[in-house]
Amino acid sequence: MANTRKLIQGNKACTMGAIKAGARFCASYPITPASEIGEYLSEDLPKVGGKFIQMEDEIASMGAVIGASVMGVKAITATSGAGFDLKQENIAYAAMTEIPVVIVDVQRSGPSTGGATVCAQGDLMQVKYGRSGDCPMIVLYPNSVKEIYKTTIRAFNLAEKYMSPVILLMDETIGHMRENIDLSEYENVEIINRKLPDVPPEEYKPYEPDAEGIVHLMPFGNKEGYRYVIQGMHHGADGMPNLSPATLQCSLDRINGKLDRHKEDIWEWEAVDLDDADIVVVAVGCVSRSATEAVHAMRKQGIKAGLFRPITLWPFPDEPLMKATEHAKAVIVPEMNMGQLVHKVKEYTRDCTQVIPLNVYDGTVIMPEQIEKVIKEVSEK
Amino acid sequence: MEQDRIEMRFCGFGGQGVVLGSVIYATALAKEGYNVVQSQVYGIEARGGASSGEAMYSDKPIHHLHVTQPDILLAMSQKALDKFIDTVKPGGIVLCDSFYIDQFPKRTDVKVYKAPLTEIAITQLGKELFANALAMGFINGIVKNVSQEHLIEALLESIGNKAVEQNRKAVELGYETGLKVLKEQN
Repeated sequence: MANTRKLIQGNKACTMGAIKAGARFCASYPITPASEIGEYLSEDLPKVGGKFIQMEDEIASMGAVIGASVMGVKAITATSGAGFDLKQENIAYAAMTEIPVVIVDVQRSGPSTGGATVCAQGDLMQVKYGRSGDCPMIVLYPNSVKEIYKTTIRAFNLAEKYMSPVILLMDETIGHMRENIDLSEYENVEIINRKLPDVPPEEYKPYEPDAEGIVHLMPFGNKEGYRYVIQGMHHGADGMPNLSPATLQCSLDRINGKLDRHKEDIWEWEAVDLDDADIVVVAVGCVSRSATEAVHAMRKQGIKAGLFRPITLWPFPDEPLMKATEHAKAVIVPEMNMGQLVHKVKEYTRDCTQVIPLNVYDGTVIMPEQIEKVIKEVSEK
Repeated sequence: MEQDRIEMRFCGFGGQGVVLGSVIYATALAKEGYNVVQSQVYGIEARGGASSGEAMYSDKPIHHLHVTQPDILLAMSQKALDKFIDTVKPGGIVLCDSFYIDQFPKRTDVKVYKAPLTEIAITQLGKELFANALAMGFINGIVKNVSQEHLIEALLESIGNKAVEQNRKAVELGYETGLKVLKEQN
């Protein structure tokens, strides 16, 4: 009971989740509204035998966490949109070389320096795209302090399980918000660690996937004698550069295919009053909280509204969305940008379903009344 | 829309510690067993203009992100009061530090209580710094939504157990002032 009475900031919850998941290294560069993550980890990691380094810039901090992970240490870095830009090159490297790391993006208004303390959801597409090639990515998007804690643990678990970088996407409002949370239910939460090679060093091929499509990378510096090369060029099972058509295709199929194949395990979403809903709101992050309130208010007025909330933003939960909107006459997509999520929603709803965007990008949070207004307009048609 | 939650706003000028005040009060509300959401709006206004922190509490889960219509407004400066007075819910409570405020709300649909909080802090505790802790006690003396012990615990946790006795005294003095004002100004 006492645990439920603790008030915790969203960014702090992220650091607590990271430590619970086994993270023992953080390298970051300060940037509002993500700075607290580095600050808290600089205090708390040494207490559990971990290390924190404030690096000289964003890409260096991305390089440092990749390095830590290559050594077998779970690692995290945190930034905001303008810093995420600068990390992209190394994020692509982590995806290509299948190094598990967790990257937090606490979004603020962009592009460029934009507004440091201004809430916005402008990075929904950037976290998936913006890197060269067909670069796969897992992106998780919590909407409360409690969910930040839980989802940070999940981000590490998915990173280790699928040998992939994972992005934890957050909103400024949720990162800086404080809520009371009960952590006792997570005391025995499952913590996943990457699989190690099950063959002797002489037979070891680092990039030979197992039956599940996952590679087993032995930490560098090992005493058992596993020696291999990690680099960003297309590579075969032995890890050496190889640009033959077969290897190239195999390499892209491996890094993308593992996420596609296990998407049902990676997908997480919340459904609110969807069963008989003929108006479905699709919303993520902080906006989904206003959407939940709006849906509840509409139900009280007899309007059959529901909410579909992707918690896994990428890979996009397309099949669950299709099912959720199957019988909807209209789908409303409120988001704090000029229209990003709406494109995926349009792609995966029936042609006869009306998709209505609601875009607010003036830095104010979308409130329930704004969503209720659109729901009412649609229901009266 | 059905209103299950109580909304509180703490406002003043930058440096008075109103955002910290909202964290302290929210911490006390959480200790009380409520579901609590605390947040603040950042901006250049924090440097000298009207700074503000917020807390919402309820027995039910809170989805709401920001305080829009406070049930309780603590105003520590004239500018902050002027900025937020119109947002207070009809029937709401407005608490003013009359050391910094001399033009009180004209609204008749809200209940206004005033006390020279900063002056009391200076004269009785020796430092303006304690006006914040005093204001926390003052709120509780008027609205009585947390236990004094939880409020003091929350305050001491938030400031890392500094000047423990003076802060404890400030909260208690604020509380007594609140009780007195409630009797006199009701």
